[in-house]
Amino acid sequence: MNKFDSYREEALQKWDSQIVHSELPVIYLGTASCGIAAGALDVLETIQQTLTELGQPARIIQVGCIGPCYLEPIMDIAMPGGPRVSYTNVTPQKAKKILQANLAEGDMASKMAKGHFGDDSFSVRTGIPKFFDLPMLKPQVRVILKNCGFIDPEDGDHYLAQDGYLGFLKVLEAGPGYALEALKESGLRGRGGAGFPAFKKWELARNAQGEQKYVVCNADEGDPGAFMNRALIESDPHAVLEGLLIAGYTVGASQGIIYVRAEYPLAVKRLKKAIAQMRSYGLLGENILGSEFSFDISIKEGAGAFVCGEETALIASLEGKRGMPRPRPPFPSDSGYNGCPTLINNTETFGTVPAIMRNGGEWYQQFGTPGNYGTKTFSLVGKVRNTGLIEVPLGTPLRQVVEEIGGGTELAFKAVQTGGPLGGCLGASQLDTPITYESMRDQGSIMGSGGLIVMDESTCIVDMARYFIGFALRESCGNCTPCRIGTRVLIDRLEKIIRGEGEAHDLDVMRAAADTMVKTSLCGLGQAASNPVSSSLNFFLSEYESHVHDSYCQAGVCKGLFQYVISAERCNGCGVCVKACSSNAIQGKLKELHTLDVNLCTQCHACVEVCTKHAIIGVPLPAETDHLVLSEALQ
Amino acid sequence: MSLQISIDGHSLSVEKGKTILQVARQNGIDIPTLCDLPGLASHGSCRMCIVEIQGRPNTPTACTTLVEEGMVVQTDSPNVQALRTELLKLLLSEHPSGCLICSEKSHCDDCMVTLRKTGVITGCRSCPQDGQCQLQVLADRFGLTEVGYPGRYRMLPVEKNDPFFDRDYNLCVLCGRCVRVCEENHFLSTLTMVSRGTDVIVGTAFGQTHLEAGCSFCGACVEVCPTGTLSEKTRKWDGKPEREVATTCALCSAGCQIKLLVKNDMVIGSLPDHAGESDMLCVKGRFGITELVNHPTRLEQPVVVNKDGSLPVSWEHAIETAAEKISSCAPGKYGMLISADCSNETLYIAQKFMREVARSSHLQTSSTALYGVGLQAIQRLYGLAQPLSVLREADAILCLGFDGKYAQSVVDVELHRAKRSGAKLITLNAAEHSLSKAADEWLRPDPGEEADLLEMLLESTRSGAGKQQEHLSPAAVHAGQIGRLLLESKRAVILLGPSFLTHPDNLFLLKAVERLVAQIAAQLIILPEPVNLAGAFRTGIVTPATTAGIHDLEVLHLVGETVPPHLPAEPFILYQNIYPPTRDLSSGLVLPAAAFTEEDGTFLDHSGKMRSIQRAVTAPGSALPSWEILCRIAQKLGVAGFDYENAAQIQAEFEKIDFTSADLTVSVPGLLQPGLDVFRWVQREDHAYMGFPLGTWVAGLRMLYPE
Amino acid sequence: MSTLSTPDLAEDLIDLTIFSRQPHQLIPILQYCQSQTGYISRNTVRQIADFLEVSEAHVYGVASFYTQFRFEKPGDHQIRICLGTACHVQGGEILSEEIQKIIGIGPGEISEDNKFEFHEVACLGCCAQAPVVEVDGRIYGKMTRKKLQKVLMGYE
Repeated sequence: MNKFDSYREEALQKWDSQIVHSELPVIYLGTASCGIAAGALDVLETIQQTLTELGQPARIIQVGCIGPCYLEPIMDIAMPGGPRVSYTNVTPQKAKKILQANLAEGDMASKMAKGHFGDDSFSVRTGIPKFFDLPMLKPQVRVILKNCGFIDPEDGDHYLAQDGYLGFLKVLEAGPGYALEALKESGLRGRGGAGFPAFKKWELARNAQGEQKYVVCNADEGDPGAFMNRALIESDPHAVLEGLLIAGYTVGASQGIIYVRAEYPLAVKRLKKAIAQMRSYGLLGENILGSEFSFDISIKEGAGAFVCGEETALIASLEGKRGMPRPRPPFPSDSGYNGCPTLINNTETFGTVPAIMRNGGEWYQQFGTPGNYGTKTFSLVGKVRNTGLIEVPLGTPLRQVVEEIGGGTELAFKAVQTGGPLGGCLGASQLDTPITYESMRDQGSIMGSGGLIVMDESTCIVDMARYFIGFALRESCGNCTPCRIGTRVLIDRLEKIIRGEGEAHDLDVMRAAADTMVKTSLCGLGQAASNPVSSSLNFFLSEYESHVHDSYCQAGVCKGLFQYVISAERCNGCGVCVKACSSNAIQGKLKELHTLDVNLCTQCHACVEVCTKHAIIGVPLPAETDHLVLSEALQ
Repeated sequence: MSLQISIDGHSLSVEKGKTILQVARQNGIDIPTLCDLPGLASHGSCRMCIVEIQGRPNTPTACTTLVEEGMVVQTDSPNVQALRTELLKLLLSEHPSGCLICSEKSHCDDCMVTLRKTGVITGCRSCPQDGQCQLQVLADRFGLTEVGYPGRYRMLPVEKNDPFFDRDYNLCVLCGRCVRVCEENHFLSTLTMVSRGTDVIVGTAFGQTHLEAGCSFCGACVEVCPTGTLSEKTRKWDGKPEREVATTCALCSAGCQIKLLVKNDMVIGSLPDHAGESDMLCVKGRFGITELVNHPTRLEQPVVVNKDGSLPVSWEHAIETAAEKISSCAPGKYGMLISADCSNETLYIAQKFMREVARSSHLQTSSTALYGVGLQAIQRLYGLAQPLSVLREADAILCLGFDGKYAQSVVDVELHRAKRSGAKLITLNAAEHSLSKAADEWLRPDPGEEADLLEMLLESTRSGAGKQQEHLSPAAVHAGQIGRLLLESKRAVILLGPSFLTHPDNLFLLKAVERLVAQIAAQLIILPEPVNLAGAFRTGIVTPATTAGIHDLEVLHLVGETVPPHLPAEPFILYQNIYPPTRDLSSGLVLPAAAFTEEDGTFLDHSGKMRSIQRAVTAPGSALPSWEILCRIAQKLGVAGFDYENAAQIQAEFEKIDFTSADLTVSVPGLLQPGLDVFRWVQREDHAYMGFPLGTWVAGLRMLYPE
Repeated sequence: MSTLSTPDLAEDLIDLTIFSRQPHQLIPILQYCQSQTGYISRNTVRQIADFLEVSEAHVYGVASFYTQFRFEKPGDHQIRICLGTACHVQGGEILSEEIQKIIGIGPGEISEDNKFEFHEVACLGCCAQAPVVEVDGRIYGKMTRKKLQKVLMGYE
């Protein structure tokens, strides 16, 4: 215990001298995968070059994801004695300017600043708003993401300085009973999507018979459109690891395994580093901190199978087999990995545990609503203005998330897809739904792992349904009849409809296949795979009918089921579309209404992409159009 | 421990640890299945056996759900029936199912007789499994009238590059039985599911042929396939067999129990007789029999051969000629060569014939030449021979010269099973063989050095061994370790493979084995190739021989043997066999004999146990069991005591002579003297029947054993 | 095991002894082998099967289940376009068509000169930067047709 205390002391001192009361300017740069995708590494190079050129020393801290990914790359500067100021959408050139201003000219470049992390008086003085007062961030509550964007995820001391591992110490002192009680009181439900009460799972695993037990962190995050787990691991890996450690102690496991998908190499790298740091702090190995508890954590990489996010398939994958789900019972808590009791929880569930242990279960109840306590992270992406990683209390209405946090859509809002490819679409009339496990289900969808994909009028629901079913088709393990063949039947009919050959009967065929899939599939994937079709048939039937009866795709997506026309109200004659078109189908003089020749148009979508006025819209084809001829022409 | 549950309103007292499906079957409740196979772990993939369980959502599968106290199950509610029908429709949407629901299906049989042979299966009528298909059974049961879902045909080429069976994966319903039976029951795992999702298909690694993938061609996968995906080449268009006849396979001494499939008085196939305790067969018994006994060149009529040519004659004439030749033959100039593939009845009659009719002592079997000087040792070892079942309790197994890659692969399976139960598997073989990888220890001498290695092993099991470790070669050290392992074992088994028994050094080897058996108190399994070697010992056919040559014979009587390529002088040849001689005879009689599928009789298998064969079909033409031919000759020559009406009567006679005594050194009294001259020109092929290599008739075997 | 066994593998001999011979090591072993040689060859499958004492079919069956594993030699440059939901909504498919036009091959294919290999993948986890394209491990977010051409030109 003493040794750990001394590490903590050192860490606190280091944090104080290097960050809080730093004598050097501190430059923060977000280098999680989002940041890197936006070009953060080029910015980093420029920062290093500029510092050398200016001859000014500064401390560069690479941090994780702070949330509003649409603003990446994000570079923050905290001058000695001053608060941290955030600059967003930073290009290398911009970065150079900002650094010069701050470091060489004593100028905060407040016009380029987006927000700050100081107090209100600073806002008054500079006119820069507080970062967390920005519309996207104000409604958010950062419990899980508390450290993300503030600490260097590769420096364990930073985590220690933020009350790191105090949750574990408390549990070690108070015993597994305390942990279970705290978890129970908190009402924490599994954040992977099923929403099963976490304490119950832990209790079952604890009570299960068996010498050897395992705890597994499911970081397989296969939902396309969801990246919360990745962001958390890349930004604050120790939070997850501490949760895993606590779980291991509570249920009596000696081995922890993190199953992380191979497509997250940076996450794997940071986990490995963090685990090594844990070891150096004495938090892994035999008799941790002088107790009877021995524990170690290993990393297993997934190999590209969405179905392995399902518990029993995950276990099969750990065992070196094809990732095929198994019937339950028996449940993993009784017989899981190698037939031993195995506790499996999602990354975020483990990430939440340390705070609950530190502060107690009752503390957690201040967030969320009864039955749905706490906060959850979501990935808000798609057609909203403000895309990124968010965290809100459960019970927050969807509308607030889409319109306030997300900043709404430019074109008319159509739907938000929740719960990943196994969820459903909620339309405008359902936006007032509060985000809870039950309400999502009642609306024909699921909360899932937290993907929220916003669609506007330029998204075709039928096309989205086809997209999701295609995903399920490829990711199905292929073992059981209803899922393997049902998904093929669904996509067969959807593609028929999208080609313009749909018939009313096809909708019935899809309903029948979906019904069989729901009722007879072996696992959750098969049972939910038809959700995108079922929910869209329920709430967006008109779009299907328009495709089937009128061969018209309102969103202008399904080739051959519309033609483009340039709207006189919206077009400003800027000519950008003329340059983008590779078929010379658009004519027009500068500042004058442009025209589009449908006979030359290949519906490649290039013009739509570049038109900032959304002036190019899809309209129904003339009634006498021969669709087969048209589709051939468009190939 | 028993539980109370209710299925379909019936209260049942059931065993804990059973599934609903198992319990239902035990109680005569028929739940439809497709992927389930008794003996294999439950799979739960087809979903056909879904049932309703009170208190549980949806419809769990009966095959994967264990019974629990108070469970209330409905197996056939309207909901479940409707769902099962939908599932079948989904399966049929990916399986050429036109004929199933076609309104013309009862008419087309008359006009579409050869539709079957089209090579591309588009519906039941063109499928080899028509009338024998599980999907048809289910469609019938559910009263299916339409498929209703858009169809899909995988467009895979039919795989025909392997021997014995073709694979048309366009028909596959992915029940996984073939994969599981190969993996769980036969430990070979030649097949796997490949890829995932809608593209899942059964296959080998990298789509190799089964030959390349190491398949043993035991045919278990073909047997368990519920559709026409896997179909035997020789049985493709025969349709459903009319009946099954239980008998014993006569292609080696293992004694596997088989069912012959018979149609139109012809053997069309063979399967393991699961009721007769044989769960699998090797390639020979599984796929070799049909072609073996049905080749068009089967002998049907007696034929007289002389320098002018050959002439078919009546049995009357043939027997007369034979009798005449024998009676006019000078004493000591008549010799008989009889195969150890013959039944006990034929062997017994043959030696009786030699004593009482021919009054000659020149009786040999090609097996004598096969085993040479080691023959006496083999005969002694037969006194210790145990059945294969002793492998199940073994804790250490030493296999000498055994290769179960194709022939005798059933033994391979037993060895793997024993290994999984904890037995240490040790093999001694100069070449790569079926146990190279599986064995815990592989003693690999250079070819020809087997005796030395065996000596080292023997040395190390001698009490007091292990003292001198210096100056020993690595091979000796290794042998020493294994020897000690064997010494410490409590239930060791030594298994002698066919090639060990026929080894040129077999005298030394077998003597070493005798000592080893005693030293480590092991049980012994002997697996010679000829099916009735034990019977040949028992009837005194096989006797130790000297190396003096036989010079001229006037009459050479071949019973189930082929004509030797060269003879010192061309005698008159009395030839009894199922197939014509391999070379021209200058003068002789060719007499058509019955194969083991066409006569009743018995063998003694590898452990000396009595096994019976049943007459399943009529022998071609006027062919007769070999013993009957000999009896007729005897009767013609006026010798009494040869008027048996059937095999059973012969059995009754030799049974009085304690035929099944374990001690095969006691042969039938009044018999031939030891020290006879061997016919030096005798040869015996591997994997042969009645002297002919099986590959002569069974094309597929030529691929497995290319010569 | 055997006193005299000689594997007949000429190429792709990978040292597997850093792993234990246990069934649950199969996927990490496959991942390791692919990281060494770029793909899973027949020899690799045979080697792994021998090492773990399982059949080749078993190794192949597991490897073929997971999209991470490939059985063909990789192209020089790996282009992967994300077709996750967010990227799909932001025009991922259309971008994919554009890529195919530029490099002349379809998804899952390798160009004649082995220069480019192109795959459509499920999700790279950078959804807020949709649409996303990855070239040789480097991620490009908010990809447009223009940017795409620029990036690919760099590899020509």
